[in-house]
Amino acid sequence: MKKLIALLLCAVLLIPAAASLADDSVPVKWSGTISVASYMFAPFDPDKDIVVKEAEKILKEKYGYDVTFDIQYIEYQQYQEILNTRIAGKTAPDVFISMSSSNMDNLYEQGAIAEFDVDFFAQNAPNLYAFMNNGGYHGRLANFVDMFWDYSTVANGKMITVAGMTEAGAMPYKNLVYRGDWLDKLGVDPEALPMTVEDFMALMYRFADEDPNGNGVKDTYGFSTTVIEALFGAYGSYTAISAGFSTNPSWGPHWFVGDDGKVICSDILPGNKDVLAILQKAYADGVLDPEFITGENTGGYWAISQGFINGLYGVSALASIGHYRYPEVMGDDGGRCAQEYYAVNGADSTFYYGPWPAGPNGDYGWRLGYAVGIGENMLYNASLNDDPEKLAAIFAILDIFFTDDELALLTACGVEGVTFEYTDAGSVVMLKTNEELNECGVAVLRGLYGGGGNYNEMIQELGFYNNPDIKNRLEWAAKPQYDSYLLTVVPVALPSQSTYASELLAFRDETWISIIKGDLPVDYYDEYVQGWLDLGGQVLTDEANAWYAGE
Amino acid sequence: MKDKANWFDVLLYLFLGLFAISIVFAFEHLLSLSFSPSYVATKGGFHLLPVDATLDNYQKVLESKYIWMGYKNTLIRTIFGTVLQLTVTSMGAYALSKRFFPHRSAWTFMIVFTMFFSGGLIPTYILIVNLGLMNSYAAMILPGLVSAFNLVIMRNYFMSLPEEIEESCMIDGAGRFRIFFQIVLPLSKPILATVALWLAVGHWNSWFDVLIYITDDKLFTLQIVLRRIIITGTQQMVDLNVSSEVMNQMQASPEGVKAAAIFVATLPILAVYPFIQKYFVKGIMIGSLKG
Repeated sequence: MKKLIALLLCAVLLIPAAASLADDSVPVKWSGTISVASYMFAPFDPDKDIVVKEAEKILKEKYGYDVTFDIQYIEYQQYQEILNTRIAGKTAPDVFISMSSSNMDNLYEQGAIAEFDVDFFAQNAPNLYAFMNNGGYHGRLANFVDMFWDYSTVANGKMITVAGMTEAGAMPYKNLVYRGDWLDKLGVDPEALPMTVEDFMALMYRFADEDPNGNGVKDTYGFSTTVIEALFGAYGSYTAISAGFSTNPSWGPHWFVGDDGKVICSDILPGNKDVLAILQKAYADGVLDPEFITGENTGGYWAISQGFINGLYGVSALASIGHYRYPEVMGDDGGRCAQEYYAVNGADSTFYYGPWPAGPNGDYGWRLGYAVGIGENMLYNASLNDDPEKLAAIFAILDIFFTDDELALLTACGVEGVTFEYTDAGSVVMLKTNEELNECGVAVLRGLYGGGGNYNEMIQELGFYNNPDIKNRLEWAAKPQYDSYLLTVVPVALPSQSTYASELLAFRDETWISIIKGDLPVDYYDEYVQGWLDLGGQVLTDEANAWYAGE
Repeated sequence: MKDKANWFDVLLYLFLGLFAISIVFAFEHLLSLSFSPSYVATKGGFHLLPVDATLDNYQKVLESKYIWMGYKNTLIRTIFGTVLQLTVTSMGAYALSKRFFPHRSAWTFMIVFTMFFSGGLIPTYILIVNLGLMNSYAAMILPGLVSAFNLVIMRNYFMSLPEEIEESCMIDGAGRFRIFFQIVLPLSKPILATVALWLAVGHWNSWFDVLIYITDDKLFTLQIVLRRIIITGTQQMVDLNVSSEVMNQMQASPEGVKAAAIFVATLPILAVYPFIQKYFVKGIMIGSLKG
């Protein structure tokens, strides 16, 4: 009996020890608060939170990071201005967005952002480090590894950011979109849309002259601002009049390698002269929309071309392909612009994708991007250089988000059935608006899992590779002349760009618009090229060549 | 001569009438858009009456908790801000209007000087941070508590009041404060109403200080909410943004909702004008001419 009691007592004594053995909580590696202000559509509301608290719990219990996230909302349109004041007032968050590479450079020069050794990053985010060096998902971005390091580091070899690396960045995203009713009226087969500039312009003249809307009045045009860019593409150039969406000055000029092997700006390529001749004639003949100067979007959602939707001209390239999805193929609402198109033109109206018309040398297409990008990638407050443990924790958490699918899904998409659901194709659809998602904590930690895009492979698969929208894009890009390949060879902001860019852009637009309107002869283009070089273009060209040679 | 004057009057009224119509038309167009589905805006054209009339837009706007929170915050800052500013400005102006005030010109100069030179955004921001005013109504009210322009206008008005009135009050035994609150202020209703309207409209429309000083969304004012509704997804917004991921996620508010939000945010302050208008012209005229 005594033995039994002794055994029982021993057992009772052992319970706490056993319990402590059973407790698999990880020792705390770091504890503290990390403040982050990433891209948000609306402020995060802790009362509605279904994500952040849960993510903090997982990080603590599974990984030993006892972290509290301080989610700060900075309105995007004034982001830079607000951030600058906060940096000056020493109230900037730990992690914030870089708006562009030049913005990042400025902040670095002012000492406002942290710099850290590549080894430090590799040590704290080993999986992500390997992922970048191995060329991303299944090595598909192997060509971009050098570019990743080039973008992420500064002259002394230290890192200042972890650049965005997503395959989507390098994919064609636009097509020409034609009005179906006009093609029907003119008896044009949507399967045999023009492949050459010659045929394309012939169709544009028919749009303007043959009353495609059937109202008996000559009130239609062939095309407007964005198609001008497609025409430049046909002559191997990516450039346009600035009102066009894709010529946002912050994107800078486009650089190509000329016949002599030297880098030359697309704004002075010889082919532009031919395009201006075509445009001058089209303007005089009433084929080019005379309001091309103001751009196709007259308000509201950026991708909506009111002139195209209302039947002022018959073709546009303003929207991305995802904005005009074929409902019969995709089985959905057709996308943001398609919905407006149907609302105005009737539910049975149609639109068709068209190939990019090719010029005399067989060039065609639209600007392409790179898989690596600066813009919404994250920067780290300079104060973190005095607190390396915190910076290490930030990278460790970045690595955890990269490897832990549960956490990645929670933070990027929220809770299944509440904020998202799976589709049959294996992708996800969000069940709430962007504002509502941010309010309840979805995507508010964007800055801690990847800035411009999510690095986690499962999220990439869910949101991208399984996405029918992307499949649609890739399928169309595989058809002849639906893809694009015009790629700038100098994808960085040049040192003197901010000094000269706006004046050069204004000079270009003013001259070209005058040529198109017939106020200046087409031959004036040669004088324009010289003027462009004299106004600072030569300096930029030299810098572009130096950068390119350094590559 | 008389006929000529009449013709001129006719022309003047015609011009002013057309001018008024050009403003009312835009307003009316927006009003009809706010009662129409969003495709009507895409379709373009001018609408005096709603097309496919609907209350959906207003329903969406009024369902937003941010609008109500914005209303609350805007009302608080407008009411408290205006009353406080008016009190402080009128007291300052009264003191400066007195000829026997020592070094009056020097003090006035120091105040007027701030109309032309200010500390700039970042020093002001740092000051607000160091004073611990971030995320408070005080950050919206205190930095602009005394507007030099309003102070000068009020000072000029006070100077136009006959000093004899105050002297007779003093003989009757009234003190400075009694004279100020019971004699001077009631006599200054036109200028008080005018300046109050400027201040109230200023507070109602103000957004940038909230953007800078307020990070707690529970203190966001109506204009911040309105701004967000209006600019999301527009060209303006996208121009800044080069990442395709976010750009493609971006949704814009439908045009009808934007129009409804503009009305919801504008009507209350617009409704104040008719009540104050009778003082308005008088107030500006007197305040500006004397000096």
